[in-house]
Amino acid sequence: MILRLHPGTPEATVRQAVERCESAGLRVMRSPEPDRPILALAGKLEDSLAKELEALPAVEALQRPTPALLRVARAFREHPSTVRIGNVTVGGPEVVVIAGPCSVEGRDIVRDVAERVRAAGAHLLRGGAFKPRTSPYAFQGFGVEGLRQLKDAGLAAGLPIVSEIMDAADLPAFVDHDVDCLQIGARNMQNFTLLKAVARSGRPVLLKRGLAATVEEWLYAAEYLAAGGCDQVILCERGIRTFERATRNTLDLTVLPLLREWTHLPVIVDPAHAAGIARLVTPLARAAVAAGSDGIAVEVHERPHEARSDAAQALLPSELAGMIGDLRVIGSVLGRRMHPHARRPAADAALAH
Amino acid sequence: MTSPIPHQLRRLDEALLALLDERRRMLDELAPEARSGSERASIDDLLRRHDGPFAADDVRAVFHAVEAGCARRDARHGEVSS
Repeated sequence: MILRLHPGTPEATVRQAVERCESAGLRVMRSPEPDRPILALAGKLEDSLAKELEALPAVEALQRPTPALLRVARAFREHPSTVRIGNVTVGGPEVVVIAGPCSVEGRDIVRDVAERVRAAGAHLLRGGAFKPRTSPYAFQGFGVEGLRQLKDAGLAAGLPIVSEIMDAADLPAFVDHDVDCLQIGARNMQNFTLLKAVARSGRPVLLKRGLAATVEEWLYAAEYLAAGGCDQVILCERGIRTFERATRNTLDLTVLPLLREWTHLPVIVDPAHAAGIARLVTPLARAAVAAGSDGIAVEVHERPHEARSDAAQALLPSELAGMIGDLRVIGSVLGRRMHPHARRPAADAALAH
Repeated sequence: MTSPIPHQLRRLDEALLALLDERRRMLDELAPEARSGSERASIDDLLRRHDGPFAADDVRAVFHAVEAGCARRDARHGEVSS
């Protein structure tokens, strides 16, 4: 249950409400927003206590969100939340683009791609160092060395980095290499041990939707992160498995307006994994921004046919630039704008003089 | 039932204004030295390929008015900054 108090409620009154709930055995979590006290109550709330709380003058409403979420429920925040990754804000009025190779394939290759995606207008660099592959014989990624190469490329291009973590045991490597945002992939969306470990890292998290996860299951996975202390969570719709086999997955854009009602978390869309076909990526990205996505994540490779994973869905850098131009137009007429263009650190230094 | 056209016209006007604002923001992201005559050449090229109901000179005048507005804003911004 979510207990919303009136804006400006004195702190002493809020504390009294918290203590009353805790004395009844409830776990109480408070929204971080200062302008309105909002409490999430975990545990069984007896009817008598619910009536008592509702009768308090300071209480505006006692709400039971559907589904029964707490910290990620829309009602838990006065405003939609935003996630800060380096100098990039995800959520709010600006649309962001995450781009890069599916897999980190070597120092020079990832540096070239980073520079090309920055020039095309991307704001964050993605790249897999630990790869979850369907076949155990497929390329599994360069591991820690891949993280190092990705970070070096991100620093050179002035782009914060996003990379997938598959095992809690790898968390120290992600922290040591200063991975700016940890991605939980579709296959690990309900790996609760991993979710709890990642939540404790203090890093922003990009949580992909599971291949066959309902929206409710996806949000409960986000709730695991929030309950573990991570309030910097971005949801990523990447297509779900349906009866349709013409595409790799089916992109579920229905969730975009629905999630606006159910959660305060920002939501982005990965059209590449949904379609699995490069020429479908830009039309789907356009549709996603039109439907309210806070950003787009795509795979980019200078020679897609040579990519060691997901070759069929990778865009060329020139295609990425065209896609971002389209998103700018669509976003503008719908009240969104693109996040400002990322600059190379050297360019930033020159501007400062 | 009232005509939906005035409402839709207003929505189009809002969209046109939003696009002009976005164009302005993009110019802000360009370093001054990168703002060359290429923009005007690009507009000329656009108008050569344009086959809508407006005369090219009429549309060019609109773009020039937008450019002039941007320049005036730059000048005001410079005065405030200096």
